[in-house]
Amino acid sequence: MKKGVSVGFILAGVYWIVMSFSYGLWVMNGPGGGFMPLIGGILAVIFGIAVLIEAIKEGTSPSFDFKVLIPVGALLAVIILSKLIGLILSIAVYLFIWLKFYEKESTKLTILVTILCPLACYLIFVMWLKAPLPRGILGIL
Amino acid sequence: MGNVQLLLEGIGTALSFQNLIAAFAGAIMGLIVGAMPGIGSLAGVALLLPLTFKMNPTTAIIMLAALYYSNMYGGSFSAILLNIPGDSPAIMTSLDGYPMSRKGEAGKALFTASVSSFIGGTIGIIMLTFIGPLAAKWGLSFGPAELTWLIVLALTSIGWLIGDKPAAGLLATALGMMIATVGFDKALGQPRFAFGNVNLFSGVAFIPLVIGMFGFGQVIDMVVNRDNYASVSSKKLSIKESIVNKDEAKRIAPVAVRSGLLGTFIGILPGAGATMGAFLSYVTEKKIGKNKDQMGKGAVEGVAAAEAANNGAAMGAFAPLLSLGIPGSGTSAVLLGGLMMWGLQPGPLLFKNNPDFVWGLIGSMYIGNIICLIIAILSIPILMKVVTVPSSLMVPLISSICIIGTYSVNNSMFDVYLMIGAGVLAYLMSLADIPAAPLLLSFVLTPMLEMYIRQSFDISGGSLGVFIQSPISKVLCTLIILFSVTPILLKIFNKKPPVDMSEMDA
Repeated sequence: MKKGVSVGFILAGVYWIVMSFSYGLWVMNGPGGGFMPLIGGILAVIFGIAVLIEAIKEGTSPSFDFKVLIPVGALLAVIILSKLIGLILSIAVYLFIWLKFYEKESTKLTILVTILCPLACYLIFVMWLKAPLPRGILGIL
Repeated sequence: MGNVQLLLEGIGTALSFQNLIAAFAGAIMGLIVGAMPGIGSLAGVALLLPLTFKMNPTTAIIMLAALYYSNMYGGSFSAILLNIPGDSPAIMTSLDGYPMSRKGEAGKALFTASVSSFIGGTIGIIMLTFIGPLAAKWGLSFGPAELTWLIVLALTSIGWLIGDKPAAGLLATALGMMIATVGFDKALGQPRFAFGNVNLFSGVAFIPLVIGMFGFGQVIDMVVNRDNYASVSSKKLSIKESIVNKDEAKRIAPVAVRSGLLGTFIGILPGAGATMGAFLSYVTEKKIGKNKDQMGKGAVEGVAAAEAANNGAAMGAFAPLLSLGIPGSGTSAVLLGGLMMWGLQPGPLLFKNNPDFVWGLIGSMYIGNIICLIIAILSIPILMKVVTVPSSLMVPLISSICIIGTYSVNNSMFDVYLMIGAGVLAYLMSLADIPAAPLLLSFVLTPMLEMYIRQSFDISGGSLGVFIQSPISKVLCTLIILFSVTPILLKIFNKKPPVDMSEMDA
């Protein structure tokens, strides 16, 4: 996967270089908005190629593990659910499902964490910091 | 002396009830976060940053700074007990710490680590007390051209640090630069790389990036590489059997003092952090130490060298941060982000304009360091419990803090998506062995670099001469060339670099 990642970063660098010209490289006797993107892009291409050569020499490297999608999906689900029941309750639901069904923790521990963690979040962020967390369309918490 | 007077006032500020509690809370959290395998000071400071916005800046930084340096104490715990460094500065600690605990001397290793941390930290604070104001005075003679070079120096020494694979570190630096250029440019005020998304007009926000890469990135790593976080059976330790004897104390003291000095010096350099400090001190001790043959097999000297140095470096890193506004490491980059969000402008004028803040912080370090030592030693008997918190609990808890913490800063769900994306980016980078810390550092430094280059040209009317006019510029420029050419020359002449840095990641 090291090869794939370095190729991706090289392409990003190329994109930054191409776009930099449209932002103006030199304006009013000084570097314009495209100057820094150009330098960043060039460096990314150069060192991206260096890393790619390294990767080809090494041969094997760790491959992409689709387990990444589990925590990512879980957080996206929390965001979507928060639109309905609010962020704090969504996190409680997430904690319960994750601990009980993914980690297979004991019911006692699961319930303890499911209650204490959102409660702490509520006290710290809502009561103390007064952050207007999303309450969802049901507006419970 | 004026500084002593200011320092005493600072200690007075730090001793206020509110600030004492903040230092105490920071120290305890730092120890816990440091002791848990895999979570470093960067993630700890990043996750806590949103909590500090309602505090006054002095209290906020006292808490975060305490978290940062007590993390250096905590990082040694899991290195010694489990052979898993809590964070990268503790890598060198495990070399002798773990063999010691296999010999049944875990308690002694922990005690040595705490005392050496204290000695190294104290040396670092004393040096900061005197060097900080001097550097700030010196910093006043820095114009935009000199600052440009200083930032370039910080950026190039990142690559120099990464050792035998500098390309990966420099690629991370380039990526940080690219991400930093998203959003309005200051020269013409046009949006760059926003892809038509209004949320990106003001650029990629700092907090989601940091929390994503270091908090959520950690979560992903825990889920994917579950086996690395396996817990072990616990055993009891007591303080009584941990205290070192007279002979050992005599062996530890000179090593700790030497390493503390070296570590602090390295911490002060822009771009070089605690990991580098611990590494060089350990290598030095292995070359010149009295007990060098035993190093690596469970010698107290090894633990002392690594721990004194990484604490010294953590303190030293505050000097360039406070006096020049240039962060020296990933964690101090986060602290810089914090300073700006609390409305303070780090740089030479900080000492002049906000003396109560700066000296309150420095004063609190003297007290915080003592608090850390006491808590660290008292917690030896219960440490096993902390280092074996199962990752099954940590994953959902850290994830929850990531979401709420990120959201609450700007009340923006877009930031949360950004945070998730940053976590995935960190995972992809880890697949290619690309370190994340240089990305963060260059993300913070690039906007400053862009501004200083622009200002330099505005002053000179477009002439390049401004960059080599002053003696300071010439010195910095020479240093940069030296730093970037030395590794290449060493390779060409096929000599081994003075130190082998293959095991370092940031």
